Amino acid sequence: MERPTTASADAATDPIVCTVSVNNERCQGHARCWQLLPDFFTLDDEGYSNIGENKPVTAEQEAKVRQAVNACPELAFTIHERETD
Amino acid sequence: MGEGMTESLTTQDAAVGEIPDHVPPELVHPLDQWNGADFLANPIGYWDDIRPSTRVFWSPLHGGFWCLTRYADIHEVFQRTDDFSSRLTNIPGRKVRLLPISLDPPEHRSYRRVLNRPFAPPRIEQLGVKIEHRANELIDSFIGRGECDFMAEFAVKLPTQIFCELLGLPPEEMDQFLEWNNTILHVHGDAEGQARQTQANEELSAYLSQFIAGRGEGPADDLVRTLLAADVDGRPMAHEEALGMVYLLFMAGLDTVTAALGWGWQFLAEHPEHRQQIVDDPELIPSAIEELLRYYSFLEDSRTITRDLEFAGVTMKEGDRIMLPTSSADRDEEQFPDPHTVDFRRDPNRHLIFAAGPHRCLGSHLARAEVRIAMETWHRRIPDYRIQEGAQVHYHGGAVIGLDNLPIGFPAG
Repeated sequence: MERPTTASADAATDPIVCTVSVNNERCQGHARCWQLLPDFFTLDDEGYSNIGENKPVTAEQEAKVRQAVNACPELAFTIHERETD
Repeated sequence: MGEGMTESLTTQDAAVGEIPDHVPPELVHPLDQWNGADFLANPIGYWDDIRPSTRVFWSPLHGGFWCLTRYADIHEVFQRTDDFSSRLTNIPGRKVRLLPISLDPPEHRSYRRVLNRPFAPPRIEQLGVKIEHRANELIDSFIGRGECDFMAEFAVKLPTQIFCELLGLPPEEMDQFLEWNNTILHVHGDAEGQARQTQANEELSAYLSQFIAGRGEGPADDLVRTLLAADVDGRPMAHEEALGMVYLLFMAGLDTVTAALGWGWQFLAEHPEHRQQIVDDPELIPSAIEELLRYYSFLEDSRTITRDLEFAGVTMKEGDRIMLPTSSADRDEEQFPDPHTVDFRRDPNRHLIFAAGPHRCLGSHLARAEVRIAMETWHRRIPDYRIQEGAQVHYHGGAVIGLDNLPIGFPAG
């Protein structure tokens, strides 16, 4: 599983709060996610999302990730909430 | 259908056709999105009074067509390509075969993937410096006068120059390209107009065909050679196919960015408080552009129904045409709270001006880059401008609704 590449995201100190998956049947390459958070919402060379399944999201990334997920005109992303203790 | 909705037939060129039996008479409303005076008086806001009461109607003009008004329905049609085909790309249907916009999946995908790479965001980013250079050159040409026609002197020229650069077309022939483009896209109506359109189509096709042939064989280092070197389902792309694609880029790439710039600048010229927001905080520009594209969603897309079906509460028949006005979808209050407030921080903002589904606008990343860099560059140099006093701004209709002119004044620099 690919780790978030944002330089400021330090998994050791910043806990994973949720994960996000892309449905590649739905993604049409609008790149609205990439526009908002290019280091996290990476694209393949045709411009479609290649984040795969269950990409971990840190607390620091969470707000921007949710914003990007909500920006998708195809509703191609799913957020999986972490069970809280 | 509200009262008074059948009184707007204003032009003779769009003949009223017979109403098919499956169309309920109360849903008939003559819309002429090309030349109707009632439409052109307020072309983007035309739908605002219709949408709340009317989910779907039938216009008997231009061969007859359904028209949807709401976001959820239009979004669904964009995604349901099996039932709503792209084989005709206009209302009335245009004869030219545009690749790959007039294909449906899965055939569409074979061509689309060839074009995706050169138009993907990372490749478009590399054009940034060129776009900024061109924008500055254009501003140089009129900033000393303290006034310009924004459409003729900036909004038309910038995308055309970038397009020529992208395809390697000679920039000195730009005026001819624009004339073809304008005739094919904006002239609509009487027999004389249609004859001019046909002639422009033929001339442009012949020109592009010769241009493509002239690129010959060589390394795939430009867009045309990339197309010619590409394979489609395991065989080389044919000349005719490359022509269909270049033709589409020509039709889709010039007019649309021009319209986006026109609507955006008209709004900013008339709303100094919004303008100040982007002057003070240029980082707001990408989000401001999304909101301007939403509020002035100038694309009227269309599809053809592939089988008899029920949709939006009516029976539609195989072969019926259906119009998808994104200008209506993107002001639908069911999708956008407070839709008539232009909020440069609106979030989320899933507008449909670039459509949705497999036909999502290929050029959306290029369009966004051009408008963003134009907006940044312009406001660094001309932060204060307004529409000239007494000026009358004119609009044109069709599939891409735009401004004919936008005379503005500013402190000479």
